[in-house]
Amino acid sequence: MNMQIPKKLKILDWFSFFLILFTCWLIFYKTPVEMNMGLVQKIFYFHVAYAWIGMVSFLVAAISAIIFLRKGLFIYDAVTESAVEIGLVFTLIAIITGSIWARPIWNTWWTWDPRLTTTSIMALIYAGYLFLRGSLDNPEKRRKITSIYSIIGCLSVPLTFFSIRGVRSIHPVVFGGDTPDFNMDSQMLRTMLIAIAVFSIFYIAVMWHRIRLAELKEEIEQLKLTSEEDHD
Amino acid sequence: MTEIPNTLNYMIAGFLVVVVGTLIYIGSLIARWKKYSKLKVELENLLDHSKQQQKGN
Amino acid sequence: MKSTFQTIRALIRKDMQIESHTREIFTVMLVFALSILFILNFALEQNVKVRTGSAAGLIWIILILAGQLGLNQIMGIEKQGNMIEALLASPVPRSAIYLSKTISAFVFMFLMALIIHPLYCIFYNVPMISPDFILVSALGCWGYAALGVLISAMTIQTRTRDILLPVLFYPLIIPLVVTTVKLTGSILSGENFSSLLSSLYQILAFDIIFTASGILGFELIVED
Repeated sequence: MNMQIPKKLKILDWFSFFLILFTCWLIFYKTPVEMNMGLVQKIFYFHVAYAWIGMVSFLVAAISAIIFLRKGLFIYDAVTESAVEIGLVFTLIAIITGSIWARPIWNTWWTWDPRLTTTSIMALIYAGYLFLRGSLDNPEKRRKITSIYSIIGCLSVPLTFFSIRGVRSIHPVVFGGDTPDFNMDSQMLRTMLIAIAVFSIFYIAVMWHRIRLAELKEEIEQLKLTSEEDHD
Repeated sequence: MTEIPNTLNYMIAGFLVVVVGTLIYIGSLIARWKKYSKLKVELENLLDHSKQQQKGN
Repeated sequence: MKSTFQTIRALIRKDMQIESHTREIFTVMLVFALSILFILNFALEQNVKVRTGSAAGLIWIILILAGQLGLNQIMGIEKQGNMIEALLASPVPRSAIYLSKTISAFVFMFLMALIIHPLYCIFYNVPMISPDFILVSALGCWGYAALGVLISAMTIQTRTRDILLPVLFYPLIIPLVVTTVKLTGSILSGENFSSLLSSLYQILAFDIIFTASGILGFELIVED
């Protein structure tokens, strides 16, 4: 494996960096302040983008786990591992920012709203994935078992959501709701979509780095095996 | 018209969480990368060394 | 097909016969459940409303906690003396092993539910129950066993063994538990059973999903 960061990845890094700066500029200077919530609403653009990526990332993990179980190629397992780890980081940030947003608006740090609860349970499930991964020594076994776990986790998340839905939610429905919970004008919508797109590009860059790290770890494991064989 | 509530502090807190959280994760990626590349170089040296010894014998 | 059933029956009989051991497990589970039941007393003593209102939730919390002991043991039996390797080397279909384990776990859980449920009602003076809860408990216990056996087949192979089971298992089982508790609660409060059918179907759907993923996944997990 080439230890140098590939040129394409370097370009992607800088590209996403400048795009994020641009998005921040857009959020803080070019999007109007929400009338009922004030400045705190600006967190919303980050919150939605991070929550979105967190969820997509877990889907990515499950899909690549399925492909791994069918093809058995190491790289798909590396994708699953990376997607779970990064998804967990993004989800945690989304939960915390959501909580900070909720404090002045709903006057509480936390509510047992279905979406909030489901997201937190999703985070727990995938934290479990990392524990499971850490405590399986045999690489073959580890890959198979964690792949199956991530698929079941991905199945369980929508089931959780449906089972606790029904209690009326106070979480704002941004898409497809009948009554918009806050007035999003076209500029806000545009900024939100841009933020989601930009952070998705950032996500791809981080994923790439994380997958390279997984490859490096794999190489080290191989090296260790050969050195042990030499000693025998 | 109603007054816009002052929620600047909450905005700053949220923004800090996003920035600091992301930076910590990137930092951990870099740290792990450095740790493992060092380990890799050491392992490779070790392997070369033992091969040379075997030749010497 | 017939032979698969016979295999499953034989495997269950084997589990139940190692069974001075199995009876031991069940007794331990039951005593554990009872001690939680008594500990709850300190939290519930003062408040009649809470006792009645959260009866369903508390009963299931007891079952979930105690059931986990059984799950660890049911897979643990095989791990002792490497019996699992002997079992895997024999020409038994993996899905039959999985189903037999699930049925054993289900029997444990269901018996516990049958004991704990009325005991809770007696100890905490909650109005007695309709027989509908038997069906709900059966469905709930089946889902619990189906997913639980699969997850404990995973965790039994880890370095940390039993410790990981609850951490992996509880978040996954939440949809089933939420629905079952909701349904048990409605039954306890005397709602008309026919109005609860949609929740019942929901539990049934969970059971099917968990069992299917168990049958598919188990093979890959225990394989060398």
